[in-house]
Amino acid sequence: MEHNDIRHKLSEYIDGAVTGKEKAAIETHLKTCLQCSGALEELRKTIEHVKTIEEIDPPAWMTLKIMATVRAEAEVKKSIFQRLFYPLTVKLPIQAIAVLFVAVTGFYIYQAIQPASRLSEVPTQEFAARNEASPAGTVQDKLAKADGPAVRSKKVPQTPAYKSLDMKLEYEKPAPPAPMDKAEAPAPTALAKPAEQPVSAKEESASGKMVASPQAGAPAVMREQAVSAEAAPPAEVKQKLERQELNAVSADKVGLIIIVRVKDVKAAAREVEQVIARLGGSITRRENPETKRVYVITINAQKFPDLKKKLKLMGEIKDEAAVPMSQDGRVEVRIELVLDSAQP
Amino acid sequence: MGSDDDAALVSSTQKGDLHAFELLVARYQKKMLNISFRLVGDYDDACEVVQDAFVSAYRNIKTFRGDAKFTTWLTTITLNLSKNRLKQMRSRQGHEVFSLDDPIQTDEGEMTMDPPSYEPSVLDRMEKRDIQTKVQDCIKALEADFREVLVLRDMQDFSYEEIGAMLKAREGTVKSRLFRAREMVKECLKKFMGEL
Repeated sequence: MEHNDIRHKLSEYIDGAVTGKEKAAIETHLKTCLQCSGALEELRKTIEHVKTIEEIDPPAWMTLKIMATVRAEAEVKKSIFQRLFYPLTVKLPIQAIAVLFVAVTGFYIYQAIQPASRLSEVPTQEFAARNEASPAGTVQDKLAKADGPAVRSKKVPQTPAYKSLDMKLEYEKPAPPAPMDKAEAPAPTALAKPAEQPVSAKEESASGKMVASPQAGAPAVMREQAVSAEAAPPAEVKQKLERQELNAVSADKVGLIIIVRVKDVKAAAREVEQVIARLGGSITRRENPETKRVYVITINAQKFPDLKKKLKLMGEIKDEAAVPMSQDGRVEVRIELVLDSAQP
Repeated sequence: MGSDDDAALVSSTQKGDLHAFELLVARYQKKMLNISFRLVGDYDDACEVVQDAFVSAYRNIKTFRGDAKFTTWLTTITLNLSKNRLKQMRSRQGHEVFSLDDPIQTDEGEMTMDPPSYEPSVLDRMEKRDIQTKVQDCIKALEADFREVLVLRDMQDFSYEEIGAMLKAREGTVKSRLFRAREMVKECLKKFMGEL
């Protein structure tokens, strides 16, 4: 190593930061170089003076002041964070549940709002559908139409109330038949009766006049009168039928009465039941007074002519029944099997 | 007081134990103050720097991973804040705080530096307190880069490696700066005291 290199290594040599090789070279050189030896000595003394400089002491309040600042900062952090999240085991689950609750509530509110916009249409539609599908059929519709719209919207379905009235009518005896030339009078009379005695459609017979009369059961039933075969004018009968429709209790039935005079009531009863079953009718009620058998049946209006033919074969039909005005739907028929006392 | 003990206190502080941090403040505030004082040259400014350094250390305590010693980490903070303060002071005063050519304040008044003298050493006639004053003045007269390596090595006993880590300088650079810093202080002292 050169003289200058060694001079620059003296500081490191004092600190022991030179390699072994460098140390050996320096020490060899120092033995022969007074200048470097002098410089080394001065350097050692300088470092010694620097190391002996007394340290200054911090002021007594320094720690307090530092910690006051530190605590203030810690408190701010803690107050926000701690309040929100600590204790973790308590607050985090509560906050998670709260967030979930808000999310679920928001979802349900959204769902509730969506259908609400369609709900306003539903009652109108349902109301209209209900009116159309009314079991009372055309009669009830006409009743509804006869009322004003305001009244209609407030009306309670009338079938149950009417049924209660029907119950009362079931046990009322039908009015006696009126002569044909006075057919018009009794009909209005029947129609003019109190509201609890509705009258059904009147049938027109080929041979005689019919007299409308109240009848047990929901629909009013017309009774066929024998003997007189004077036909009512079609227009007149039609008017009566319309009025009877308006007063009908149960809107889907137009009743008829057929009286059959037979030699053997029991046998005829068996045969009538078979005929009814074959024609698709259903027996709604049976009455067994002493000398006769009574069947109240419902049958398809289109099957009514066939029923009449079958009954004619059994015996003399005292009352000729006209074809029901309406060919649709079912009609109620009262069949009375009466013992023919005139026969031997 | 070893680095293991410091690591435990730092760990406690990171968990929110302020008492642990207070122990660290009490342990190292003097060391940091002396470092700062030697760099900025003013006691009050040095006190403010140290307070700021510890508060900064607390704020960033969770970033301390323990790769280096806590004192090394804290000293780095102190050095940076001291340099910043020094720059502010220079910008206020417009020149070096102290220069070897400036008149030197003594108890008797100002004194200009005399040229080197070959008279017998005056160390025996001067009190130690005077020598220390002179040494401090000579250190104060160094440029900041040389001053800090001298303070860290000869006054605070940091290793070359630690000094290099704090100043972000290579070890060779640290050694070279240190040699020059010592040479300048030696020459400065020889001016005041003659032969050392």
